[in-house]
Amino acid sequence: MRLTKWQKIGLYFIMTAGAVPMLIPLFWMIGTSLKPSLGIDEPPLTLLPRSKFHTLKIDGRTFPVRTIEKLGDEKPPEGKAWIKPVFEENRNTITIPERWVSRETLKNNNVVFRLFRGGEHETDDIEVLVVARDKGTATLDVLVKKKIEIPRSVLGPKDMLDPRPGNYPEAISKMDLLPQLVNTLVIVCWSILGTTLSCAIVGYTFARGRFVGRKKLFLVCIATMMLPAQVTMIPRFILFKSLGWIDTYYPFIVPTFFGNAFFIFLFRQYFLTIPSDLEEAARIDGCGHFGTFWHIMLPMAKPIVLTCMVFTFMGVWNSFMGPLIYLNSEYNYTLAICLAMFRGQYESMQPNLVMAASAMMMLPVLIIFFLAQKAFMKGVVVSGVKG
Amino acid sequence: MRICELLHIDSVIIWIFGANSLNWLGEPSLIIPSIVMMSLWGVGAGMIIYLAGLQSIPTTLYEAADIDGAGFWSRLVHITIPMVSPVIFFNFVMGVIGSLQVFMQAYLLVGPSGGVGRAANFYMLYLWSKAFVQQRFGMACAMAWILFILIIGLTMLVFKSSPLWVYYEGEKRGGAR
Repeated sequence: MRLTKWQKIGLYFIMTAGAVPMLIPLFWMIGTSLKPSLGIDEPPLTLLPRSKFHTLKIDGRTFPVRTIEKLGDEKPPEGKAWIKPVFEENRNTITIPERWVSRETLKNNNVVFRLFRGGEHETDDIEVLVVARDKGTATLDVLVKKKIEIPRSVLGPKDMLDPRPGNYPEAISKMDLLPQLVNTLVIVCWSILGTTLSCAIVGYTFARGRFVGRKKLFLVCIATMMLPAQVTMIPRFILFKSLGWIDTYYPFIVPTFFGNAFFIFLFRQYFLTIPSDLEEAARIDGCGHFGTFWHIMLPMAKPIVLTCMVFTFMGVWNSFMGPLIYLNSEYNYTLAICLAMFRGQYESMQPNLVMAASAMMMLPVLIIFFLAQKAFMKGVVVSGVKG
Repeated sequence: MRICELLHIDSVIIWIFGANSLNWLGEPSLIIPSIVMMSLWGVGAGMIIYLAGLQSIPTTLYEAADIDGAGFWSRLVHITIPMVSPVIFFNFVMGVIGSLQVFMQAYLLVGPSGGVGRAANFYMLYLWSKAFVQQRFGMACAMAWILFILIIGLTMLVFKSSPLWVYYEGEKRGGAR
């Protein structure tokens, strides 16, 4: 389609205006996953990970100083060490003794100082944690030898960006991911194979097959979607229990090989749009029913095959109710169950970790989706049949 | 409003809806609009299906339309919409089936009671509370069957109407052969 420049600009404007509100929950999720664990739900709610900092001027550069309410016997973060500086008499300048700075600390970009500042508040010492970022080793050596000045006026609170990418490794280390990932992938692979194959075959039959009762059977097929899942949940459980399939993956894998009304309907609708001349040509060339389906119709239906695969992947990857009902032992759990348990454990104290875990959980879906989209866009452009 | 304020969700909401921001889930007349707005995040699936449907339109049709001097609107009305009508039909039927079974959004937003003034007391929510809150499973099952009959009736109606507005390229020669 040929658009003028202004039409294009208008199009992009409308699409961006639609996309931005849609993406806010995603931004919120990623933003929250980078926040410190304290004060996430305190107003004002922010999208970006921000914290209130007291600032500190060192060598003419401004560094954030974060006040910490309870330090206690808190251990320093990984790869960092506490440094205890000494205040001089006028209480405005401090000198950090060199012997308190370890080599590992100097190698790190993030150096953490712990400052104890007496003064106006004699009764309760203000403990501040100084996080100096983006300082190389060379600069630090200079920094350490010099006096650090803390002018009182600079210590007013200031809103600054404070992303914590360390939430991601922390979330991973707190979840035992690998077995659950393997379990999920096993179910995903079988489900994609089963759903795509069975639904394409059945959909093709409903679209092109000529047999008595085709329309009635199709209605029965569609009707399987009309009983709400909440209603069929218990009978399904009883069925699978009597088959002895509890705590196995059969309840997720075997039904996919028997079709799914949603995708059958989708395939049927799509096959109905493909001109029948192509099939006739195949028939004349000696293709049977299955040959026509496999060599002619299925390649033509590539966009729907991809859609079916992506939807099945998303559905199985995120499915929670099924695994929750049918799986009992922990070594059988899927990622969704694992994430839900993780949430239950950490939601109240460290929602940032829960968000980090959720964001990671979403990543494969995004990757699969964009890969599929690429294949989708350059996929078959049905040339149609002239005549 | 300043750029840094834009990053505060609170102020964005106040900026859009005014200082006395609406109590979306506390006002009976606003619960259903809230659920409708929340469902907008589910349109992606329908969009992908439309995209797949659009891929199947032979480009020759557009080339022919170009030669005939058809503009944007006539191409949309005479080629695109008829050619994707099977997909529109699919999304329509799915919409009928899905929206009559709406449950999860309402359950998450207002809980099994149906919210203030039971404004979001959808059929499935009512069924759920009959079954799992009041433990009246027999009644809930009967309700499920009534819903089933209702949905199947509506779906059949939509199917009956399909010859009027759905165009199947694959059946153009004399329909059922």
